[in-house]
Amino acid sequence: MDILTPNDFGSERVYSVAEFNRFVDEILSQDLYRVRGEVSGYKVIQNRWVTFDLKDEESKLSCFLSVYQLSEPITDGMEIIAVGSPGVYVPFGRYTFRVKNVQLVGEGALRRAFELTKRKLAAEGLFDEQFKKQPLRIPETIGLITSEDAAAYTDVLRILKNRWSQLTIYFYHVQVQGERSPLQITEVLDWFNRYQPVDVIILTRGGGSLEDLQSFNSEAVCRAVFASRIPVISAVGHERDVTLVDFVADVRASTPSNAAEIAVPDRREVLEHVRVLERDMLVFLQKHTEEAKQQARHILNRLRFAMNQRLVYFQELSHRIAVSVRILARRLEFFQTSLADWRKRSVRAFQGKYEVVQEHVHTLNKHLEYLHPKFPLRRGFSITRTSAGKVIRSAREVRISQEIMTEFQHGAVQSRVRKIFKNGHVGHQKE
Amino acid sequence: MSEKKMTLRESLHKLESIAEELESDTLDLEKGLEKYEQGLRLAKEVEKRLQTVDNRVKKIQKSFEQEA
Repeated sequence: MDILTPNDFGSERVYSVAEFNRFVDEILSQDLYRVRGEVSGYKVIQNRWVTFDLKDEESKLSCFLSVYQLSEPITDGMEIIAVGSPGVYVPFGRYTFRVKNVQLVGEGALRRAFELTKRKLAAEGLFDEQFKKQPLRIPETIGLITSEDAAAYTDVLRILKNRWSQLTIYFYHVQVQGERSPLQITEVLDWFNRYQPVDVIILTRGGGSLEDLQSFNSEAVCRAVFASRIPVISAVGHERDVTLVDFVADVRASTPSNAAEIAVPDRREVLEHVRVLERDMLVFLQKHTEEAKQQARHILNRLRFAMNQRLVYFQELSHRIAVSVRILARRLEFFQTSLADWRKRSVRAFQGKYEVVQEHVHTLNKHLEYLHPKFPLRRGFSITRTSAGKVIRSAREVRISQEIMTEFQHGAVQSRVRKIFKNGHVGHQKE
Repeated sequence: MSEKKMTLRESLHKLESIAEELESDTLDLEKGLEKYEQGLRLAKEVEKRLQTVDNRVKKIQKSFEQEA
């Protein structure tokens, strides 16, 4: 890129001040440069613009950027590398450095930044227990975010293979350090949440210096982990390496291998558990069978007892009936005997009476004889009748010369009436 | 429900729930026998699966957007 010098134009061209400043600004701001220095006079204006001076022992550079471009927290005294382009702020004609990106340099700066970010995120509640999600005990899909060159990658896969089966592991390679690392990690976390919702995500890398681990301490990555609906297991380096991501993650693992151990169960343990369940099920079944048998026995006994009761009852009943029958039979016998007896006596009595009655009848017969109308005939009386046969009782019943019949004990005569004597009888004739 | 169609996780959960059912007091003996057999089948299936080594690794090939 040619740098125009005033000589090219000679002394012909005359600029206005603004023109000239703009011209110089254009020249200066063609490229990006990296400048390292110490931050001083750090100021935030109206919550939108940031100004500070970058200085070293000899000189200083006035820097300018917007708050949104600030990817790391910086304060006075920090050693940083400012990436940007020089230029001229035209209204004031002032030489300035427009910062595009800031990188922290040196342990000191990194540690300061770490503390600042930690305090800030803690205050916002990103580290709070209540937001942490418990991953499923048995996942079927796992998202793995790490560098494929890292030992962490092989460690995780190996442990997963040892411990569990039937997994689908979605591996997304990212840079785990360097400038592009935070952005890549946040993009991948977002991608998993949006397009491949696995059961759990493992975000991991091996150990390293504070500078190496920088992206795992960055605000952007922490916020992305916090925002993830999928539970995130973080595993950075070794036990003693703690990054801010570890505070935000749903579960913190001490090493990549540990992350795999947390993510899936141990197949041997589960196998043992299944065998125990098998035994238990058998025991339970046997218990139930035994209980059922007991119940059946119990019911059978009760049934037997009840049947027995019935049997006894009926035996008693039949016994009582037999007794009753016997009594009845005896009574019947007695009754029959009495009846026979009574008959005998009755017959005797009757016979006795009969003789008496016979006598009586005989007497009556005799009486009857006497009372027979013809009996008086034996005594000399006679019966006189009209020729019609009607018995004449009184003299008034006849007329003179009537023909009458008179019956005697033996025979009868027919006569004619000569005289009638109204009162008196034959013995005395009265005229 | 064929055990073949269930995932490992589902099979395990089903197995645990069957064991719980068998433990409970209110169990019909005939159903209990059925459940036991089902549980045993499941257990064997799960054991078999647990002994396989068949994790799949799918590498995502998407590229990242360049920084501005």
